[in-house]
Amino acid sequence: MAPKQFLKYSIGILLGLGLLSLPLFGSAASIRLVELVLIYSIAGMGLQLLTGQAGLISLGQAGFMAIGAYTTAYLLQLGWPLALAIPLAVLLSGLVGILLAIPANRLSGPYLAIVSLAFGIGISSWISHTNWLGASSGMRVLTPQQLPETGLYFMIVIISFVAYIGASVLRSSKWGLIWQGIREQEILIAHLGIKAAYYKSWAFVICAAFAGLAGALWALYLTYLSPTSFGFTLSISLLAGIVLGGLYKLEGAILGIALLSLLKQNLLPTDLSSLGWVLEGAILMLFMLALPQRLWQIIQTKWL
Amino acid sequence: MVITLLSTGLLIGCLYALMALALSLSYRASEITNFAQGDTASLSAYLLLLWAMNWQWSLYIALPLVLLFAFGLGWMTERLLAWIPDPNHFKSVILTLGLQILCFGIITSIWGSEQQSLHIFPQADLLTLGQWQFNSRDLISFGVAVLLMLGVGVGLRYSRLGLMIQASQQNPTAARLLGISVSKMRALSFGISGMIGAIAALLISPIVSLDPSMMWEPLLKGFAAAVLGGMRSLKGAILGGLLLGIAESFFGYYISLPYKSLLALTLIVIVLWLKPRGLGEAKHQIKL
Amino acid sequence: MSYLLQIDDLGHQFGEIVALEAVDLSLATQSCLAIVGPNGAGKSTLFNCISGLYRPLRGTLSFRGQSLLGKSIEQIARLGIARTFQQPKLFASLSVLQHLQLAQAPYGPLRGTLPLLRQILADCGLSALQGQKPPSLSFGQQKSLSIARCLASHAQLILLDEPAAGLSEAEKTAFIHLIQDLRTKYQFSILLVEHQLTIVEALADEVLLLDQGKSLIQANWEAVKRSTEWQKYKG
Repeated sequence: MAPKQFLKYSIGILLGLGLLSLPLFGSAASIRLVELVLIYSIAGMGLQLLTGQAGLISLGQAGFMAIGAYTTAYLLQLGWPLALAIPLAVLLSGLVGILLAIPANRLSGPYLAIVSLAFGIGISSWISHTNWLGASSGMRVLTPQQLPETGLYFMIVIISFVAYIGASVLRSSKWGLIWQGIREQEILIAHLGIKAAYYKSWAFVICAAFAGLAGALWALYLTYLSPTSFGFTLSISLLAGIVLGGLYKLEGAILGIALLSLLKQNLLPTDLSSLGWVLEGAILMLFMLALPQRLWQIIQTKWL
Repeated sequence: MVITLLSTGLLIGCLYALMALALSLSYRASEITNFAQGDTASLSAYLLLLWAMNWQWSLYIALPLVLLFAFGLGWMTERLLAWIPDPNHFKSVILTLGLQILCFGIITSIWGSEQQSLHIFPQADLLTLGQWQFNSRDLISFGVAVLLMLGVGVGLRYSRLGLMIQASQQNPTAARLLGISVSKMRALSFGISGMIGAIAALLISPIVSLDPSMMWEPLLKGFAAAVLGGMRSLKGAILGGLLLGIAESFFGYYISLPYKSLLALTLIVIVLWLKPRGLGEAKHQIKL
Repeated sequence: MSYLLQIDDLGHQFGEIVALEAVDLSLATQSCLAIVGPNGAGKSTLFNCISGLYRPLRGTLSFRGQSLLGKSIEQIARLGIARTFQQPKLFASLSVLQHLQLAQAPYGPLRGTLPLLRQILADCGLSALQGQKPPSLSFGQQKSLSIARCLASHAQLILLDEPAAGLSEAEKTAFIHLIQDLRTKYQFSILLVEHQLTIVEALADEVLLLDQGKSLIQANWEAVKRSTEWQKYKG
């Protein structure tokens, strides 16, 4: 085994053990925090596949999380078991993802960003006016009785692990390769006999499904849903997280999202929590201007 | 009823048209859609709140200063975009998004997320014209919007600077050969866009009152209008804005008031689905 | 005799500008046809029509007896037509091996293709570079990689667009040998656009003279050189 791979696996195992044993020594607040980070990470993995790997911007991630969350909440209200509600929420988010994929397939760059933004905002705006989803006053999530607090925690840990495995398998398969090709030179992909639209659609659907999964878990985490929790700023936070993680690596995306949510949750004083947006905006801008690399180059040439 | 719906539609449509005009002006200059257009405008509106209301500056000083600030912010946006190493659409979009959320964060950090009202406009009076009633404030904002659109149109077509901007938008290479600094013209377009956006925000503020996300809806409506009008055409953008305003007001009355705001979003999706480059934009030759 | 690629009376124009007026061409299986002509003769347009980037307005285009008209770029590629470009179009973030995997992707899963792809890399002299990315390759290596990519996509016909442009003399000789070796081993046909007649002479079985969007003559090299059309072109 190559040393790099060995390192990767050992970090993974250590992290897994740490996460699984957290309830033994961690406080309730730290458990909540880890749950939140993991949920964001799941949505971030989907976004990494779509935006990082395939180079397709989506500003609608929060909308798909809303679909997952509200579907779960609604089905639980109808008395469905959790084991059915979550998969159905994922499926529905994926299906709605097709609706975005149809127009998005033909679009590039700024137009794609506009459409996905309209899509995401449209979904939360539709929810906030729809009475059977609680409209703007929100909706209670009837968490199943048999799910104690640590039960939810373990469920989130296990599901995010499975999601991570799924995303990395996808990335290293021929799909990941084709997505990367689409990101770099879409027209060349056609000359290789690959129908880019097909793989792009799947990227949208898979990204939406990841968001749906994150949304479903988030519903259980929040226990009360309101359309404002799924606003545009959530999509931007996720984007800022994967940009912070370097955009092109799955592990980077998870790390970036974890770092950003820890920063926002813990380090910023509560009365200045809106500085989180300033931070996210600054991250997005600095990384697009490649300031970290530029600074590093200057340091290298001047001092090293 | 139809007249009332038409006039409310036209009024709000004018504001959409202003946003669309701002977006399309900067898009023509750089092929970049400026997502920061909305929140930079809100920031300008909040500055006016600070200067004219909290610090009690005269409006004659505060207003020009705010417009200058908006112009500078637009200019700076373009300079930042030009500073991106190997630029592409992806990076430009994310940069402007970053600027947007940055401005949003600054506003929320300083002024909080509560609504605030900006009392710079004279009190509203109801004017009666035959059987119809008009709000004087609405008339003023309609007038300002129309004058501004006419001003931009005339300025671009007949002034020397306007012609230079047009030339550098339509054929950058040829413009460069004529000695026009294309990058300056581009920054100038962004600056003017910033100013138009700020004026739109000031006109919108009596309707929605100031809050940090006040320009999100207008920005989306502006996108919808610009997309309807073909993104590159200023006339199209204005027409798109007016049509969208009227369509919304009829949709709200006859079909569904709560879902009114979905109309613009649906329009964006449908129009771009049918015409991936926006209505009216010439198909570009595929190049390898 | 049936041809691998047959083009009859092909015409294409951009607005008022006629790029191809009447092109006839036939390419036998496992042969190499060089298209020669001045700049603006329509060589690039012809390539773009064959590979599906442009939709020709007139004429017929058939590959293995199947019409290519109305087919999309990716459908044409999957029929077994691969192409290279004057400037090698490579993916900067993919390794050499990944380029081949991507080219092979439409024809099956990645699993189990490694031996074949490694063989192709070895045949193209790229074995030592399989983990490298295009920015660290020389121009000649980039050109070899574009050809290796065509092989990985199981092409029966490879369109080579100015393959020798920008190569040094030594690289050109190496390139000629590479193509000759690969042809005997992988048995593909070549449609070649090339300005340098030494390359044409070394590789082509037949030559087609194209001028102002019209095909003037198609024959073997000696016959073309003796023809009046060639004299006129050279004179």
